[in-house]
Amino acid sequence: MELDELKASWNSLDRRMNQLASINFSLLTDSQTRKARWRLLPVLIGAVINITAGGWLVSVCARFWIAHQDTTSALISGLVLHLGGLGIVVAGVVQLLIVARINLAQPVLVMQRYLALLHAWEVRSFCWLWLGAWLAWPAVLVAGAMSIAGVDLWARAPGIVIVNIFASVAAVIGFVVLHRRARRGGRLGSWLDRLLTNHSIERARAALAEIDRFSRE
Amino acid sequence: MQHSTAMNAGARAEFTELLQEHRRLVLKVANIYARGASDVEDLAQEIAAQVWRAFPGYDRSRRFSTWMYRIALNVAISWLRTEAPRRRNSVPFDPGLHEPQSDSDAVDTEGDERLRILRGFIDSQDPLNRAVLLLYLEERPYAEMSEILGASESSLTTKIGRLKERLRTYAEKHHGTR
Repeated sequence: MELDELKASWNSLDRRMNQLASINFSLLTDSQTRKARWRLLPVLIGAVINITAGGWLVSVCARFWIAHQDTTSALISGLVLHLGGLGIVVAGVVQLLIVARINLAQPVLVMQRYLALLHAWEVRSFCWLWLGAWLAWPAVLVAGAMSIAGVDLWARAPGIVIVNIFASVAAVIGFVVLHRRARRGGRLGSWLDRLLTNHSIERARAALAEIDRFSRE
Repeated sequence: MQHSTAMNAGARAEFTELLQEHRRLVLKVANIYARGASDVEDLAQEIAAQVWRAFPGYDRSRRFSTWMYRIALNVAISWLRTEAPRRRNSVPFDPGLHEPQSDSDAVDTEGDERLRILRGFIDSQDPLNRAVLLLYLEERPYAEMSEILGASESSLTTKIGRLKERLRTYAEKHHGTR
């Protein structure tokens, strides 16, 4: 059977599709056109929130560690949180740059590649920020104690800080192990992927691989 | 960002006329990517609405159909990747959409069989190859296909050759047809 032989059958679809009387584009009402909102608006809003929140964190932390340069634990905590804020800003800016390049009227391969890149970036930055948040937790504790109560927690109760450092490292290791298990696939892997990222990792990888394969073929 | 609400009545009338003229294009794209009458209808409406949203940015020196194909395929492929997996659990495949609708259709059993083979084959392809198949079946020139997809004409020739081979294998394996 040849593809060209099937063209006549394909064309017979025209007649049948015209019977789909319920689809009447001339009835594009206001509510329908309102529905045609920019689908990437939530992503754009998310990126702007990231940049704003990250920028705020950077400015607060910069003031904090500059003011506490004489206390090593406060200085390190402030710098760690400062870096975390910068990470959030970078994640938001990259997201924004990709979104700015997305346009439905672009050639299909170009547009689909940007969408897949955006999705992959969202998943990766989510994972990195999640890990960063766990790692930064002891720094939040030390900086919080210093700015709220004026107490150097590391000097006063180092045990509390050490326990929290171990807890955050354990949480990070646990997340990495689960994440690697999720990437390996299988029933447990896909359950973990669904649990951790709602199938995002798998989907992002599959979409990018598919576009690469199509471009290479 | 362009908003459809910013368009004046003249532009709306022009758009409606163009959309009616190219209605077939929207339906064919929706048919390639969605299954079941309600999904096809939803996707067709989504494509029409997104074309409407993008209309203020349409460059009138270019072919409307090429521009519309790009938007329709981009919307449909994104829909297939995000919306379709969610619906697959709740909306069953609706074979009635492509079953004969009248007596004259019913007589054409050979045509129906061919259409079933074609549908099965289309469903077995990834979203990008479905786009190539659609444009080939719609007899779009290679230059236009290249413009729509963003792939070179030579690579499209290779892809179509491969699709033809795959179709032969598919028809033989699933329908015992050479």
